[in-house]
Amino acid sequence: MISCKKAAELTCQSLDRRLSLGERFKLRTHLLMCKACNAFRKQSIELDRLLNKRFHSRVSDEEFQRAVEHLPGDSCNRIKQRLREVVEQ
Amino acid sequence: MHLTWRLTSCRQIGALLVNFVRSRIFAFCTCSVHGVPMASSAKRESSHRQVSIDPAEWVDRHGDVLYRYAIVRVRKQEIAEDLVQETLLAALKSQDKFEGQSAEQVWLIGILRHKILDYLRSRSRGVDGRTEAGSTDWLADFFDDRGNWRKPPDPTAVNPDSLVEREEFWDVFDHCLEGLPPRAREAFTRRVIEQEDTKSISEALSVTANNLWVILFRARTQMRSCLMLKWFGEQGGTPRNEAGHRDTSDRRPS
Repeated sequence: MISCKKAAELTCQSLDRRLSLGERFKLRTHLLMCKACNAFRKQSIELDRLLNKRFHSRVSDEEFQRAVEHLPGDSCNRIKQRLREVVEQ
Repeated sequence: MHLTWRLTSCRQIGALLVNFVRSRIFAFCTCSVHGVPMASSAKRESSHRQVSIDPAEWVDRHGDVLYRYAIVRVRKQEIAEDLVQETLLAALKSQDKFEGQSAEQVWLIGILRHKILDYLRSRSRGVDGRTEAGSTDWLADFFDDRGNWRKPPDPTAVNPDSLVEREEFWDVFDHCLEGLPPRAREAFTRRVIEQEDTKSISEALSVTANNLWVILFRARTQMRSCLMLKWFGEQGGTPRNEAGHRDTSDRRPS
């Protein structure tokens, strides 16, 4: 029987690589009996999913989306100005 | 199962994109280091001049895309603006390394990505241990000598799904991310946010695959714990709980 420490390690690694058959078996067996590690697994997967959703799909918050849609005009001009300065040098 | 498959394919697509950008950057670098034959160099120069014109035009053409890319990652307007400016300045300095044929925007986003990672790294509050790459000292904060949880994750914690729509969540998230040691932070950002494949991350951080898994294990464990504590106010880990925990009382049949 693997410890919670090992189970947590395998849980995290399962998000980064394919576990071996033996590792999967050990993890599954532990998860069957350990509520804490089950919670850890659920929350870790959820965290990954949320971050993925947040950074790789359209932002659902309309207000935020409107705010991030365009580079503000004044900084647009400031950046252009700066680039021209550098070009002229 | 279906979700896992989708996640994997998302990662693969992400990894492909990242690799593409990298190979472009690598190609530019090798060109500048080893030089190219005179004729093709001149040809490149002339075709290149037709493509790169007024850099201020870049701002009109790519400003919004770059800004959007930056702001969802750093989420502070001034910083996103600065990063866009830095990216364009860097692009201006290295524009002779850019081949007009490849997508200009892909190239610029590649530069921006590095600027964002630099920024995130510089904001880290955590400290890398001396032997950080393979260090497992941090594990003692989460597990006792027998490998049991010091503060067992709470199975009744709220599902975070509905809460992430609120902006405050992301302030907490930032705070937690800044608490990671620089390397863990970079690994976590590249892996979980950028969906980069582990091979290219371990190359970028010059660590072995095994070390990277340890670093990511740390990052994930610490992030989960920090978010649960700060946002959901997860309790647990009172001395009595810990004592009970050592008797493996956490391993209740479900």
